[in-house]
Amino acid sequence: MNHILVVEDEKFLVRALKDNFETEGCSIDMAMNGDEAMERIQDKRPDLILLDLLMPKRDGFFVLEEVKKNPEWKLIPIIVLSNLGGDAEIKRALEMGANDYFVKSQHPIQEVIEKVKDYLESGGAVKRAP
Amino acid sequence: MHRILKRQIKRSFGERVVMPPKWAALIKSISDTYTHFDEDRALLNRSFDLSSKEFLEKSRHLEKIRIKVEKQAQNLAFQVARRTKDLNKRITELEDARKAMTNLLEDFEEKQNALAQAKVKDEALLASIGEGVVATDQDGKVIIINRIAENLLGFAQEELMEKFFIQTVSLEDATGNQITAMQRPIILALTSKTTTTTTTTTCYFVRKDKTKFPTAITATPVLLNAKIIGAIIVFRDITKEKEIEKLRIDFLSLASHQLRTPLSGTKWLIETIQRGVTGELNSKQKDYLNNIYQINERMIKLVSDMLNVLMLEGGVSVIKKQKVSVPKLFAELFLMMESVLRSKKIALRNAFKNKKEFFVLADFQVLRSILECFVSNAINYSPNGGEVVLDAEENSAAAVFSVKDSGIGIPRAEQKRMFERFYRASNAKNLKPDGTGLGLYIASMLAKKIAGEIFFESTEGKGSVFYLRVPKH
Repeated sequence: MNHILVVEDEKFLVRALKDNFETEGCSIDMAMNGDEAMERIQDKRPDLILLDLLMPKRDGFFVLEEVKKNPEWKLIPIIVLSNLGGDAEIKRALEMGANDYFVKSQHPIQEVIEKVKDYLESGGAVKRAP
Repeated sequence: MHRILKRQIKRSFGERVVMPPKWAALIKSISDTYTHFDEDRALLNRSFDLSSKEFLEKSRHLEKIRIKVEKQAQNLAFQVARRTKDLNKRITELEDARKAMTNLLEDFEEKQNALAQAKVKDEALLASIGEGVVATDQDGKVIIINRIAENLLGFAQEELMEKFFIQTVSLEDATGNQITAMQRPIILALTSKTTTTTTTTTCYFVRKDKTKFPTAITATPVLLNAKIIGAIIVFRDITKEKEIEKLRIDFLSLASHQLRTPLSGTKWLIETIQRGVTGELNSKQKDYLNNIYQINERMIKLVSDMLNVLMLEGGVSVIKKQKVSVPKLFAELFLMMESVLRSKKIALRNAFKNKKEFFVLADFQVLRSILECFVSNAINYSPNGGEVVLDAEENSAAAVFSVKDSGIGIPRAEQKRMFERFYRASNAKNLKPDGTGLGLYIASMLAKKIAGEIFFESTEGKGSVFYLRVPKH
C-alpha cells in the first residue's frame, strides 16, 4: 500500500484529499504545518508528499528544503498544492526540487489524483510537464 | 527864303517891295536861321516822338515783367503756403511718432519689468519644484539645473553646467548595466522630437558618490519654430514608490491566496462528492451540486481575472523580450485548449500549419494569454460543431495574429465598448451568463505591455475575427 503524506493547514482540504486517496487505496498521514510534516516523515517515510506552501509555523518551502537536502528522502516525489499562483513562487518551488506544482483553484482534484498515481506507479520517475 | 520870313517881309513892306541888294546877305542868314530853327524843332519833335514811343514800349515791357513777376510772386506764395501746410503736417506726424515712441518705450519698460518678474518667478519655481529639472542645449550640454536635481544627483551646479549631461551622470537599468547614449531619454528627446517617459522600466541614476537611486524620467524636446533647440528632463526619486509597489504586490499575492483558498477548497470538496467518494447521489442532487460547482468556477474565474487586472494596472508584471516561434506558440495554445475543445465539439484549425516559421520578439506568456483569450472567446461564443481558425502573418513592420470564428458576433452598436472593463455584449450575456467581462480588457492591457494592439471585425450572427498586431523592433 502506497503511503502519502498530506501537508495542509485547511482541515476540509485534508479531509477531501484523505477520502479521495483512501478510496484509491493509499494510506494517508496528515500534517498541519512544516514542523509536523518533518515529524511525520521521520515517523514513517512516505512514498509521496502533497505539500501546501503557506502554513503556520514552518512553511512548505522549509519542508521542501529539508526533504531535498536529505539523501534518504530526496527521491520522495513532492507535489506542491498551493493557492499561490505567481510565477515567482512556482519557479522557486520547482527550483527547490518540487516535482510538480498545482495551483489548487485551477485544477480539478481528479488531475491531482492522476498525477499522484503516475508518480506512485513509476516509483517517482515521472517526467514533469514542461 | 524861309516862308515865315517871306510872310513877315510882305506884312511889313508890302507885296511890291524890292529889297536892296545890300540886305540880301542879311536876309539869307535870317532865312537860314529860320530854316535851322525849323530843322532843330523838327529834330526835337522827332526826338520827342521817338522817346515817347520808346517809353511806351518800355512801359509795356515793364508791365509784362511786372505781370510775370507778380505771377511768380503768386506762385511762390502758393508754394510757400503748400510747403507750410506740408511742414505742419510733418510736424504733426513727427509729434505723433514721438508720442508713439514714448508709448513704446513705456510698454517696453513695462514688458521688461514683467519679464524680470517672470524670470524671478521661473527661478523660484525651478528652485522650489519638487522634482529634479535639467535642461540642455541641442548638443546635450547642461544649461539649467535646479537644486533638487543637484541634491538628487549629488553633483553641484558648477560641476554639471556646460558639461554633456549623459557623460557626467550615468544611468543604469535594473540589472546594473549602463544605458547606452542612444537609449538615454534626453538623447531620445533631442533626436526624435518626442517626449520620452520611463514608466514601464525602472532606471537608476548613479550619484556622484556612485550610489544609485531608482528614478522616473520624462524627457521633452524644446522646440523653437519646429527646430530642436534643447531638451528638458524632469525626474524624481521613486524609492518610496518602489517600496509601496512591493507592498502592493505582496498584498495582492496574499489577497489572491486568501481568496483562492476557500474557493479551491469548495471546488475540491464538490469534486470529491461528484467522484462518488462519499456515496452515490440521486440525479436531482447531482444537478444541484453541478450548479454549485459552476457558480464556484465562475467565482474562481472572476477572482483570477480581477487579480490579473490589479496586477496589470499596477504595472507589476515583468515583461520579457523573447524570440517566440509562432508554430511553438500555436502548439502550446492547442495543448491548452484541448479539453475545452473536446467538451464543446469545436474544431480549432491551424491555418498557419504549412507556412514558414517566423519569430516574434515579445513575451511568450503575454502572447499566449492574449491568444488564449481570443480562442476561448471564439469557442465560448460559437455553436457546437463550429470551427475556429488560428492564423498568423508577418510583414516588414509587424506580426499579425488572427482568430476567426463563425459564432454569434458582436452587435455593431456595442463594438466600440468591447475593451471596457466588465463590459459584455448583450448577445454574449444571453448565451453565456457566467462570463466576467474582463477577458478582452485584460487582453488589451497585455497587448499594450508588448507595444501591440488588438482590433476586430465582427458581424452579428455571422462571426468575428480578432487580431493581435505586434510590431517588430
